[in-house]
Amino acid sequence: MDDYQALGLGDAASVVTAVTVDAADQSILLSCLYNPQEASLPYTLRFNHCEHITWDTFGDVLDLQHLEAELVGLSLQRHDAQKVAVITTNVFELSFRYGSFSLEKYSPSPSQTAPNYPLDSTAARERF
Amino acid sequence: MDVHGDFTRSPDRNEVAQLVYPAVEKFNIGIYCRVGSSKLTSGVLQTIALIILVTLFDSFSVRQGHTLGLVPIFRDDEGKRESSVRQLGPGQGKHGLASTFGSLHGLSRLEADEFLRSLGAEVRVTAGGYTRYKFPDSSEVWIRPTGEVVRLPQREYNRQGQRTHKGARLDENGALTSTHTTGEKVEN
Repeated sequence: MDDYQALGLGDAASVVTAVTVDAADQSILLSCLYNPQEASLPYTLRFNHCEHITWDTFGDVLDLQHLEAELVGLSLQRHDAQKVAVITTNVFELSFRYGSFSLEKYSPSPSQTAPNYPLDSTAARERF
Repeated sequence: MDVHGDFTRSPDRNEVAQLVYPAVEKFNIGIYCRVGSSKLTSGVLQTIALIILVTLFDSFSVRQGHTLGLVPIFRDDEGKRESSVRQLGPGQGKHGLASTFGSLHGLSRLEADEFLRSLGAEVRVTAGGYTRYKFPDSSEVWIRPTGEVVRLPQREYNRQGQRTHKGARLDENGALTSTHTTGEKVEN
């Protein structure tokens, strides 16, 4: 099992819709949609104090702000004192060391239903 | 059933042999044999493989467009000879090549690799330890470092040109599902 389940989102899959790398801020922000087949609920993964960033792409990545990359796997591991993230999609794989991590969920609009989505619609975690 | 074919060794792996049966190619059937440290001659092995395959074909109801993988395994460890056959049933087959075969669950990573390569997948191993098998029709099979299998359907679009099945996965029967992990897993 990869670390996706530990995010506490639920069992449904996600799509990465945008990646923002802020060199000055040393941060990486991944915008994602949880369960796009049914509810399409947005959330973001924010990594701070990032370094040793490695990209690997599996085709043409034309625009990092308009992606539809299937999230295949997520690994948030500690190696000695360092935290290492590996985010694998069918479009790219991104790996880097990071200092802190947070997850932000956004409340669904009233018209949306979210059968596979936990009730705490907004949360932030520093578990990794 | 008229089954005939050639028995050839894979050029890159001496222990793997491939059976090609023109008579059943129209059913898109992938067949391959793995031979361990067998001391059997190729002629005897060929005969045994043919008997097994003919028997199995007779017991299957194969529909066109489905991929049926048969993995006969012969072993010869310290004089003991055994054989077993693993069967991959047909998948639902509606969402690209990755949906045309049954569960890979329980296969070794090598067996799954040989099977997926035999279907024409382009293979790539990532730095993170994931293996991607991409088929010409854009469907994909991924194997995570843990051995978990992730199948992605081929890309499909609606009349407005928008992609359908975004975020969808395929379960071990090739049917659409929305879950991140399906339980299908190969042995590392």
